[in-house]
Amino acid sequence: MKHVQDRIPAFLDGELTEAAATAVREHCRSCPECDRVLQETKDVWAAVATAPEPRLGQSTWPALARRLQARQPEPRQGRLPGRWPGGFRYTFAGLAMGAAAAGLVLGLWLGGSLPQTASDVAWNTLLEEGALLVEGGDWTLDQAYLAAGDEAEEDQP
Amino acid sequence: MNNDALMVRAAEGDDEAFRVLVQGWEQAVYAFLYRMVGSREDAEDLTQETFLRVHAQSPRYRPEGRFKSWLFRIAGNLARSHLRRRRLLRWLRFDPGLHERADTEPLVDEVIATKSRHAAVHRALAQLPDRQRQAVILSRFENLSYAEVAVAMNTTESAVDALLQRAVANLRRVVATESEST
Repeated sequence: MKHVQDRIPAFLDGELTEAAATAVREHCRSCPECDRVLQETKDVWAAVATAPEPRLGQSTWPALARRLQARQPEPRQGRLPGRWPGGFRYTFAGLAMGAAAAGLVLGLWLGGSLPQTASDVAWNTLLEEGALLVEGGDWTLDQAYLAAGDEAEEDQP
Repeated sequence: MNNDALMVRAAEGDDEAFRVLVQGWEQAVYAFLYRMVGSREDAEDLTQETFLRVHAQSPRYRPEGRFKSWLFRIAGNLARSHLRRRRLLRWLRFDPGLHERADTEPLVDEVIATKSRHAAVHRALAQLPDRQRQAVILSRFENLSYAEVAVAMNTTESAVDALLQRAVANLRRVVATESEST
């Protein structure tokens, strides 16, 4: 009856069609094992529901308004250090990432594919996080990074 | 004025509309983030960051009545990014004490005064994998439908269903184990 037990969370969340919900309900009446799972799941959700609502001490708006105001005129000093002759703006973060990418390409060209050590993984993650943390960063870049993280993420405990 | 209308006004530079939007949602966003990361200070910072992103992205927001899912998607992405960064920093510091502590320990401490079985459930909730915990919080605390959770988590409804099935199984297992040991 595993397939019925798999439907129990959706059943309790009201996410099943009426016909499917009726089928689960009637099956649980006649199956002690599935009824036990149903009751345990109800108990778990009831216990989860007892968690107190974390309360925000004070509104974030005053601090937020200050930060938004600070963003209005021009990006912070040092964030956009200059322009290429054609007017194309560059950032330190962009230059650093470009240099890292160039170094990686050169390394692969010279030494073929390299095994990734733990420190490589840590460094690459820091680079990605750095890109993510750039103020007013590129949303598309964030999404691409996070989507990649989603695929790699282990859901099983 | 509904959320979509406020977002349109905010995108046009109406700070008052954005203030109304922030003050209408900041408590829900903070509660979600606190349950995700288990730290008041981090949750406050991430709440601000969420609304900064909302503001920055407002010109690209499509008013299709899905503001809540979109808002929690931004908050959820920030929370999971924060958790990944925190785990990485702990690993780099190689601090065994930090490694042993649950990521959401303060959340558990706060609710431990209730019955032991409830405390066990909350401890289990804090130990769920990030995406399972995110699905549980959005579904059970923020009352999002599976379709809304799917949008907020950039996945499908069937994947949300599967995440919740695994979350329930994990929670039931922990509760059963703790009941046997008491």
